[in-house]
Amino acid sequence: MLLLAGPALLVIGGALLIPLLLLLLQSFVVSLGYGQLRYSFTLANYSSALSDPVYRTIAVRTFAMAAATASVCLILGYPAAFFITFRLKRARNLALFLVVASLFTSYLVRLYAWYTIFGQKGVINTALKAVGLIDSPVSFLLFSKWAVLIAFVNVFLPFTILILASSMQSIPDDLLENGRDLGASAFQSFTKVVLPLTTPGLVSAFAYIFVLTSGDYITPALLGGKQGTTLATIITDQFVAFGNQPGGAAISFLMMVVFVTVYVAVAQSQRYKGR
Amino acid sequence: MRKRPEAPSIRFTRRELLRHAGVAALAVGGLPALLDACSSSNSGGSTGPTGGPSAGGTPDISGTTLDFYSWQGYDLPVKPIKEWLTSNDVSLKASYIATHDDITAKFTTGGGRGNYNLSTYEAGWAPLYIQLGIPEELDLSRVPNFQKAYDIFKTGEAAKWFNVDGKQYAFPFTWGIQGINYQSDVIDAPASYRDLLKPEFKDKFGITDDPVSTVVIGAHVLGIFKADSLYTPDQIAQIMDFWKQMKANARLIMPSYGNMGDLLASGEIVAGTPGWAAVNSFAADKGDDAVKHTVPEEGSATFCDAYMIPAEAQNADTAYAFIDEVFTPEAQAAEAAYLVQAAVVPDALPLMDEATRALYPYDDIESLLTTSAPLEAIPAQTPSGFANYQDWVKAWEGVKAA
Repeated sequence: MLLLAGPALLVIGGALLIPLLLLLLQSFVVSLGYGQLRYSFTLANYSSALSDPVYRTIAVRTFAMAAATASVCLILGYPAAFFITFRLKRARNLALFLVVASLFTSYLVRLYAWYTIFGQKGVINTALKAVGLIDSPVSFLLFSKWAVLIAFVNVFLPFTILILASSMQSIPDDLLENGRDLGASAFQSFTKVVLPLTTPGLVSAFAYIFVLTSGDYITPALLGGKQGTTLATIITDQFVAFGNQPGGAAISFLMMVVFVTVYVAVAQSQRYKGR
Repeated sequence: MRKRPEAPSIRFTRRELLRHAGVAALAVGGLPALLDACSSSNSGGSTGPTGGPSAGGTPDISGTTLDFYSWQGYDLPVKPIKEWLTSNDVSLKASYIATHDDITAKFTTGGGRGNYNLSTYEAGWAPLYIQLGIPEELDLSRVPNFQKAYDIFKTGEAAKWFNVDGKQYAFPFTWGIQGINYQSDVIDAPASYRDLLKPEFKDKFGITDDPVSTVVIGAHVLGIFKADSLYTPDQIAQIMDFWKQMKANARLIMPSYGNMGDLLASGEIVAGTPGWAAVNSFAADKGDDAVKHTVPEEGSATFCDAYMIPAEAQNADTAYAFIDEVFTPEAQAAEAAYLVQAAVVPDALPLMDEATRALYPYDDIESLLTTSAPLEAIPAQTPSGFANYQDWVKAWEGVKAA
């Protein structure tokens, strides 16, 4: 059994745990800038990351956008996944294929597509002008946090639906039938059976979208206007512009701490609700 | 060029993705990075010019590889160079960067030493790179075509970034200026950067995410520009205050110059700064011939890129031969048209089309690069009391976060 698990353990250990450990170790080393290091222990990388008001502002902005995106994806994705799983018995696979098919388009092409929708000469402005609601194009649609949120939701909603649909499909039909036999209404079946059993899926989807969104920098850079800087950009600056691997490692690790905290918090809150 | 744009801009964003992949790899590959860092801290420059020619004259480079690491386009996929590669049976293996910082990282902690025999650096990076031992000292006699360059690049004001203490570390092959790009069919050329602060420009222009050019332009605007780039923290704060005002009136901060071309062509903005003449070409590729570049009265940021042979390079002979070929008038003319940047060899001018020749003030090159838009240092390490490059980037992050 151990032999069979070997490759997976090797991948997890080699590609996740060891780099994570190195990242942690690196974050306690002194940087002399431009890739030069002094191997002595310091907490300065963490203290400077935590005390820097610019980093704090950008961190709040990054995590707030990530939380908003994950929440909207769950709100929109849950009913969609429910409908696909429980209402589209025959067309379920086709519907899931269509969800996956939406991912076939290049991420960047999808981002640039928003220019043609929200832009001054875009679909919305053209339509508003055609019906006489505006005289000149409105410019607030593009290059705003709303544009970033909409683009993020557009990109990550299919992932959310897939995770939630997978979670819903694992609910045995017997349970729902038993509930109905015992007189449960559709609403009670949902709240007493479906929702509790899909809680792990909800938590996973939230965490997954939160982590991916927090680490994304292209969407905010292209659509965020004057507020397009994210923590990922800051980490890049640390590693590349400053040659300060310890500083970048410290911020990366702090981000990871936030991810784990969010995951645990969401999981715990769902467990509490389930009692 | 510090943050070279690219056309089309999607190509750039793909490279941005790769850049982050590289960053992730850097983070993930911590141990090699640590080990590399140890070794790089002990490495210095060479004790003499690299790669002396094989005995008996011109070395045989057929069957060798040019391992190139720099901006996409600086490997010059133009006809004269392609023909040279074919006729000399030289293979080109190129890896591209997204920011100039990638070069610094690659040849210090990124495992680049010994794996590349051709790279570039922008003039202002010379002091840091030479200190870090990144470029080899080069043999001027191995690049005879360099003698065809304007004097200012050989012995004049622009030469000091490449020939330091009598040692040639790189050969400047292209340069450019960065002012304001604008829609000439919508507005007149802005005479001053401050024009963009006027109400009529509210939400109609973009600022390029380029910390070096913004500092240089800001210094010009405030009248405190210094070619040695030694600014006090207070002066950097004043410069950033200017950019905060600009940001308040701007529509967005643009992630790349390629993106600026897209936005000008699509009518989302009517101007962008720091600009670049090449943006005209990017917009023209999108069907907009009205985008122009202007240098406002305060001056502009200026860049000049040069080929270097990195320390510990294999096949230095191949790199020397390639560099020499780049200074032929034919290659220079083709390069200027392809990169939309300025040539360094005057004999290339008659070979250029009118539009390419008109992009840069070749008649005024001496005075431009000496007085109105001299090259400027990247202050990697500064005396006490002055802001260094990291302080610049940090201050610029503050503007972006504001």
